[in-house]
Amino acid sequence: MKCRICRAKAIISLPQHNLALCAEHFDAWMLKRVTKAIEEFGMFSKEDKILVAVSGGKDSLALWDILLRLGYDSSGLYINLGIKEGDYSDESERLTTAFANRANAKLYVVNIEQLHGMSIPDKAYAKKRKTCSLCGVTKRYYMNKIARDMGFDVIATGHNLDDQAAALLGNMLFWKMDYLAKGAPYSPPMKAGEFAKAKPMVYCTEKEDTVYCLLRGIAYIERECPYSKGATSLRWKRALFEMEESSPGAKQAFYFGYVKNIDLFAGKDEKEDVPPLTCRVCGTPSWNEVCSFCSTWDLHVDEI
Amino acid sequence: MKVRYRGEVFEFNEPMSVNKLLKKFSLTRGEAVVVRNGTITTEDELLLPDDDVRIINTVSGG
Repeated sequence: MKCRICRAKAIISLPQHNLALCAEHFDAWMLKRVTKAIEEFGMFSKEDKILVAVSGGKDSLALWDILLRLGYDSSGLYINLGIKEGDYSDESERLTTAFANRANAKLYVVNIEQLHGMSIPDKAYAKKRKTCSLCGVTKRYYMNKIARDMGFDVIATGHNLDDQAAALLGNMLFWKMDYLAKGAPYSPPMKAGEFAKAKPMVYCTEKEDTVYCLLRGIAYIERECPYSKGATSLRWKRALFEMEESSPGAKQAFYFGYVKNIDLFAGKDEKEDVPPLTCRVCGTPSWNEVCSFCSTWDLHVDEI
Repeated sequence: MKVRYRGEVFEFNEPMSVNKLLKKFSLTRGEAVVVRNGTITTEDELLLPDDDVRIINTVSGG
């Protein structure tokens, strides 16, 4: 297979775009795809300070690498959740730190076990809750906290087209209207003091991010999170991969067709968009007197 | 050919396309990147019995 642009040997076939590219032109194409997402959805400018939530995985590291190459002022945030199985959290932290050192970029590290005396899995066990639910609440809290404390303008995550399409499929299957109203690649701040959330990799697939990291020599954690086994998102992804195999381009049409028509879901969710209260422990917007983070970690005013 | 996938090593003696190899592991093209003798390769590439092949799963979860 030959590169559509220069006829050199192609390293990736992109049937959804009727395209095959060599290493050089694929690299250029990836930068263009991320630029397209940033500009089309008005995500941020070169004047903004961007906090990139990095997990040590291929998508977030590819994102950070691309933002740095495009000249965006971006720093990374790694949250060590204390997942010991397979040395998952510490290995992810090592890989993220190695990337930041190589790129000469600033990385903030938050260690949950050091801050709270317990890892996420241990706290989940103590609370008799699923690990993933604590993970989401905790990561969101620290992303907003670091962004606020360090003066960032926007939080960027490495969610890719496969992630977004799988989430959309799950939300549509079960008609989760509140989520369907909020699945765009860019969310402006909910209220003063909150942060815009951007997903600049939304035009890129899992495979493209993988190839990008391989070509750039970016080492990332290849193993999945040990707690993701059986996750529904993986089932939806599998279904979409099968569909895409016989109908290239269907995934992109599915997700971006939804984005184009997202207004159909506006105002359909039963919850208000903006939490009406302020947490009496940490002062962040909350649906209850004590926010879900402080409640999860059993925090009191004097601990914040 | 020696094929490494998810920490295991598999041996195949017959030539086959990357596409056919992926089907043996029930993988779609979007779920895997195949590296042949150190070079990323496309699905139409013919793999030979003395090749060293690595299949990298692209799917992340969690």
